[in-house]
Amino acid sequence: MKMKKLGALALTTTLVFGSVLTGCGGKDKGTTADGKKNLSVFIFANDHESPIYKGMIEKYKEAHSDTIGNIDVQITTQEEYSKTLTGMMTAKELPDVFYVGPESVQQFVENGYIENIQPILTELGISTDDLVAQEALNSYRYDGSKVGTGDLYALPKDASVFAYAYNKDLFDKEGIPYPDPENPYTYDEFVEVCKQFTKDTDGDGEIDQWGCGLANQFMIQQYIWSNGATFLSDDYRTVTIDTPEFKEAFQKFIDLTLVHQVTPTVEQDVSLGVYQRWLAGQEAFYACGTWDVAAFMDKETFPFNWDLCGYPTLSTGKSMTWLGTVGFCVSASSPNKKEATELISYLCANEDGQKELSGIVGGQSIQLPNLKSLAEGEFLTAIEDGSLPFPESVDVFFSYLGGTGNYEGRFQETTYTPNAEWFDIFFKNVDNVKNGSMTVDDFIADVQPQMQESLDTAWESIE
Amino acid sequence: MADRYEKVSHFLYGGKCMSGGKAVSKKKMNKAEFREHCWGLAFVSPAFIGFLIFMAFPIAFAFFASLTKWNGMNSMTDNFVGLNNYIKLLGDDKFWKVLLNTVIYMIGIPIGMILGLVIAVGMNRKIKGIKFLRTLYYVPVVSSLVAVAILWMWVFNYDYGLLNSIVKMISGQHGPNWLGDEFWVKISMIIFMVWKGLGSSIILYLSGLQGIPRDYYEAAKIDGASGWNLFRDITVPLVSPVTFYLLITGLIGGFQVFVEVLVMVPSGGLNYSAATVVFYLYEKAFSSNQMGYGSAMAFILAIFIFIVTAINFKGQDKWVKTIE
Amino acid sequence: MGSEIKSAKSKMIDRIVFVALSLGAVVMVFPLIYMVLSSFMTKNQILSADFSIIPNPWKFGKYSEVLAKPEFLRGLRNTLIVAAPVLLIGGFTSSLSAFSFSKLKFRGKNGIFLGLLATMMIPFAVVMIPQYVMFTKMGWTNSLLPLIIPGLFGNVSIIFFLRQNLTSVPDSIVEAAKLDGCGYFRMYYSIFLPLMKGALMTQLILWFMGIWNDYLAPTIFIQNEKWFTLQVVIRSFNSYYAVNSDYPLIMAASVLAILPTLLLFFFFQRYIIESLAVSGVKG
Repeated sequence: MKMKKLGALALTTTLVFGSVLTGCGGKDKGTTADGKKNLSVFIFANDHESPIYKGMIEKYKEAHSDTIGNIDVQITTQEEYSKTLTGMMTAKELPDVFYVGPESVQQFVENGYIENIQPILTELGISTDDLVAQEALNSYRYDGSKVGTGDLYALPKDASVFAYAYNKDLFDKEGIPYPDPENPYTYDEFVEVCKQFTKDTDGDGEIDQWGCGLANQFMIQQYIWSNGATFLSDDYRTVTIDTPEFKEAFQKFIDLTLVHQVTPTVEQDVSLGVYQRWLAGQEAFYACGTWDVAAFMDKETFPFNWDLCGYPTLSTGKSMTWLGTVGFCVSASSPNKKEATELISYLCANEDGQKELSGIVGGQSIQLPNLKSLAEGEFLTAIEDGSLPFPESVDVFFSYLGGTGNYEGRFQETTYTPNAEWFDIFFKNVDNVKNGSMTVDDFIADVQPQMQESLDTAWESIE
Repeated sequence: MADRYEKVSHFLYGGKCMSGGKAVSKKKMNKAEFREHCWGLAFVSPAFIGFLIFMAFPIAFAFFASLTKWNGMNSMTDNFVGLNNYIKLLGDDKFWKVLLNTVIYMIGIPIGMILGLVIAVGMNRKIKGIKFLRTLYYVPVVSSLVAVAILWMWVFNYDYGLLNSIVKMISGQHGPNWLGDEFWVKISMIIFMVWKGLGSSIILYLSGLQGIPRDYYEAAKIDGASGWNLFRDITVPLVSPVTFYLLITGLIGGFQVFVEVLVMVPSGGLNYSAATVVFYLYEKAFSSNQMGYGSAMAFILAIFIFIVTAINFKGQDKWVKTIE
Repeated sequence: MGSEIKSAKSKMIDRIVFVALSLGAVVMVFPLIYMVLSSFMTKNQILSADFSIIPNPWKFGKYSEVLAKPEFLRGLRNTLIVAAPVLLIGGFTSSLSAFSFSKLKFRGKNGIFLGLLATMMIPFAVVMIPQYVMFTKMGWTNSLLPLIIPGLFGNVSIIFFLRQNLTSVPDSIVEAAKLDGCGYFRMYYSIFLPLMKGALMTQLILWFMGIWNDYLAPTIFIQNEKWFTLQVVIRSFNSYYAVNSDYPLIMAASVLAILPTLLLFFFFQRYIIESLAVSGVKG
């Protein structure tokens, strides 16, 4: 009896200690024993991007095996990224390379977390001229007081565009000519076209097909900006939603649901989101971001023919939308800044990597290529010959990105404020206006002071 | 039995000797008592040391943070604001709103306890296949929240959800907007949370029921007691330690409900009608980068929880019984 | 224990109870049914506008796909690496503490107990960053230690429950043992631990479930993919943009994640239910 117990105890102890020890990892240091440099990278990536980035980093390591020792790559989900990064900042143990969004550049620099890579780029002879998205690049510049000019603190991982799209099959069914990518509809034209789609197709008395579906938070800015209005003043300190241009644009946005009724109602939206209705072919128009392309081209996910187009224009005549980007930066406390800068330049601009991410290789496009040479060359030829499934009007993306023709893209106004809380306040209750229980004027009067207060607190918190 | 609970109230009243007899904190201990004191302390030392290492520093850190305008990136010491966050919090309408929501959700606690006990009594019987049934009741507890949420969002769906389809079948009327309406969303969340936690209450009550000697029931039956009598006069009082445990942990946990809201009503509901305190805390700390403010909220919440818990500890003499 | 001869009435009650419980069980179990069915659906069907239960068409192969993913098995392994020492050592320290809080007299007892209880009152959200800082300074972030070590010191909730459970054991036992010259540790080991067995097993099972399902802590404390625990791995199958997620895969993974815990519970039930004869003071 006693032996059995002892045996059990011994086994348990071994098991437990074994687990604890196996559960231990090692700690990487900045330099290996033979003088090679070690780097640590911390980014977020989804299931699809993750192997591509890991592969790129592996290739980089091999190509530089005489100077680089080990590259430790940690990838997490986008939702958890900032919390973990905050933890690292608080612990003052940042990896050599991590992500920064344009909205955080000022604070990261002012608090001494990221390094000015301009001198290093010059020293290494790396030029950023071949990058397509110069505006995205500039959002990583800081001159000590303003973002947008000055030295570079990060290199863009990508520049994304949130364009508009339409369901070709639905257009064919209703016998309506496709929108012209060079001439986006005006608001009134758009309403007329949408009306022709909105109907009850199966005769059960309920409308089940609509012109478009509007995801408030992502689609309102297109209307506001195209009407010459903005949420904030030029210095981003004052909430300017009470201007007549803003109210007019907002009203027009709301009217699509309330007056012209070309979108699902608020209640219908709660039942089944506008996004899912698009996937089910119930809406003629919906949005498509550069990251959506692979999914929308997949017949299993979206079994319809579709193409890109522009958002409707309001008084300025320009079709506008918002752009997005995130950048690779170098930790200010990194022991290997030069090597880190070289690495991020590679991640941003390496041809093979860009080919995979943009789909030139592999056929799954999740971002536009960063390099002009690719974007104007192989990318377009791959689309033309069909090896890269992509909507025909790919130029819409580039037009928004470059601000050419009737198109213009800009960053969301939250990019320039310490946090986005003031913006969230606006959207939390937009549905109250959409379902008619509040007028635009009442809503704005109600929400503006709250937004201003939140914005003031935000600016205060960093002063 | 009595003196343990009296010792707790003894502690709460600041050392005044309320219980008759064992005034341990005043007299000097004799050798045997000292020995027991040492051993007793030694046995709880792992837990206590664990607390010191892993909680003491973080709590102190969080408290200091609550006195600053820390946003995760700036320096805490440069942004010291004293009790500003707390004052702002007391004037924050949203805070009181979510606090009210949190308290409303706690209605689920007694519901869960009653259901749990009744079901546990049923499961305590020797019936063929009962082992399998018991396992089934445990499924919600172990299911991944993501999958479960997709399901329940369908159940509560306004247009074609399970509940509203049933309502339409029975009454011909359109059912309520379970997740979109300010009132109904609270009901839905309570239903969801009771459903999710039922398995744990059942197990704990089952465990508690084992401690009740059969003879009690036999003796009472001989005296002519009905099933209901047995339940009310024997079962309920004798599982009261479990009930007390469920109540305390239910309250502590209930004040901190967060993940369920995040998963079912990610926006916090129309006009924040479904959000809880921790939900609001998360938003403030991690979306709005107001970590100092978030920390202050955590401490005010902790104070509420502590007061409520202390009240319950004090009150337990009245109803928590034990077997002699 | 022994066998019972049931009266006819008792048998009828049994039947009613069984039926009622079975109906209730359907309500409890329908998500699992849906999860299993949806793991055989196409992604489109899950995301589609019309909610449906029966897969149409049936697509097989997701389960082998999940098991073929090394991350999944690794996640499973990691969760077990965390659970084993925590349950064994943590169970020991927790039951020891509970015994002491419940039956021994020492100065500061109530203060310490309430202090421990108070640690449950601070939301994890505010301690997670400072804890992360601590773990970084200790160099544990590249391992599973942040999830293991704290648990070894005991779990307050379990201590609380066991303490409650022991209130039903008369103090006279302690006195009797003392008179017999029994040492305190021996008292714990030979007398009270066996008495606590059922309650302890119950709590250990619940603790296991907690570790199994834990998502918040591993996400922030573990960045290195090779140490991801099960729930984090499953969550990583999610894409940020819903349409890109392979839902049938996620459902298959979730079902696989549930099965061991259910099986565990099914087989370990008897420790909870076994009639522990407290009706009598063992000599």
